[in-house]
Amino acid sequence: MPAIIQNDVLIYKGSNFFRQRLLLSTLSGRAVKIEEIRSSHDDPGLREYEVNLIRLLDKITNGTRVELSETGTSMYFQPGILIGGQVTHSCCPQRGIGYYLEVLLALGPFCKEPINAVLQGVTHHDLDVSVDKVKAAALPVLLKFILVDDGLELKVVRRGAPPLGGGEVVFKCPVRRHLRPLQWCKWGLVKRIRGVVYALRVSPTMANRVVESAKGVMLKFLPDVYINTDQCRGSNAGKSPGFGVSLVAETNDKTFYCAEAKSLEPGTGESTLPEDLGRECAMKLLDEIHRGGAVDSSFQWILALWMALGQKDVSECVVGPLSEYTIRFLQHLKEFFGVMFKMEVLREDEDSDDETVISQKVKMTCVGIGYVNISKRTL
Amino acid sequence: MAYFDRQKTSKNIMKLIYGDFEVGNKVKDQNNDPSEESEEEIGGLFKRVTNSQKRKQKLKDQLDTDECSYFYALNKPLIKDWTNDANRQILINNFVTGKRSA
Repeated sequence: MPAIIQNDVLIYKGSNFFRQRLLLSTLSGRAVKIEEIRSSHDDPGLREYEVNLIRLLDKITNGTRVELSETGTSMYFQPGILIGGQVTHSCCPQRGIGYYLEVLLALGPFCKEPINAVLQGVTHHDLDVSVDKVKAAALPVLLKFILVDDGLELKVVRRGAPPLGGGEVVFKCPVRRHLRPLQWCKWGLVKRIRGVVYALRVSPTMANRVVESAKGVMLKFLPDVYINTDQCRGSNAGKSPGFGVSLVAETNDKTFYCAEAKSLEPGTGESTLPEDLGRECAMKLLDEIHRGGAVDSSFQWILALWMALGQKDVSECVVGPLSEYTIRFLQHLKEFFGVMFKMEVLREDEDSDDETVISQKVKMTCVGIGYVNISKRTL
Repeated sequence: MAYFDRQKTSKNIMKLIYGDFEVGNKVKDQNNDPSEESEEEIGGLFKRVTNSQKRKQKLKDQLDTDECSYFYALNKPLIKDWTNDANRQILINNFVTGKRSA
């Protein structure tokens, strides 16, 4: 649903895509007003994790103004200037660290000081990308835009499963004056599969059983499969029991696909078999490989963001079928920055009878708006 | 699967993404909706749901859903079994070990 613009304030309804809106507001410097946040729910207003996100944004900016209504069902957000620097933040355990990390990653290159953030909370969550996935699949995308890796780093210090969390990651991101335009239309073939299985406060054999089954599936396609186990002990294992896996497929053109799966939260009444989990994750990875494209489907939106904010030059990129989230992000990009992408559906192999065999590829082309990080000091 | 349906029905992906923006003035767009709400009654009891009402309801349902950047966001579809032979033949060409026609 398009926003209503009044006095240069974008007015939205509903809590959906809250993070996208705040993120783009911060980058564009345009104020947003969000109304009717869960107004018809039993528990109306902003959730704890959303307020937590506002706090994080407040920490890395200067001069952010937020006004909440008494009931919490409407808010006004006026962004400040991006500062970055040293941040320690304890993320709300209702969502994973990935929820917050993605925001920091998107904002990172445009800060005044390089971000050096310590995030505490749940490292693996059902709704959010895990820290392993960000590390494996999202950082290489940023590298394509900044070319030189001076201090881009994500370190998983401790892992923490929901509901209590207790994990910790350190994220460092260099700053840039502007991003480079990107041409990325080929992604090559998958050449190796890597993975990591973690077991927190459960028997270490669980991890080995997951490895066994995941490897069993992947070996049917490729001999180069290597899956690590991360047995965490003591305080490194967080506060809740759980185990999970993330698999990464690397292609010979440096595209990384990542799939992940994790055990159910304790207390839900059901339990997860490690064998099923490994197989589930392997299937997800195969599905991701089939959809293809130059980036993992979870990070299409961040690719679109960086393409749009690049220098005034043409960027083009081919991705797999667009996710719902990316489509909404493109709409938001249009509203905040006025950037429109040219989208083309590429049709390969017209002769194949079954349409579902070949996944649809989309070529995204746009001219960057020439976004300049004015805060970055130039020597 | 949802996206296969979508790809069959919509040829123009630009329209799919930016379709809502074709009306220039967004404020005006919001206001002219109520005019088309002519409700037909069936047998004096039921009201027929018009298309615009359906669309509104759908938008309303989406209003407060949880944000999730995964491809299959909140719905968990059954993923194809890629290990069976027919599917494996399709997929194997995405790997360096695959057989290519070239």
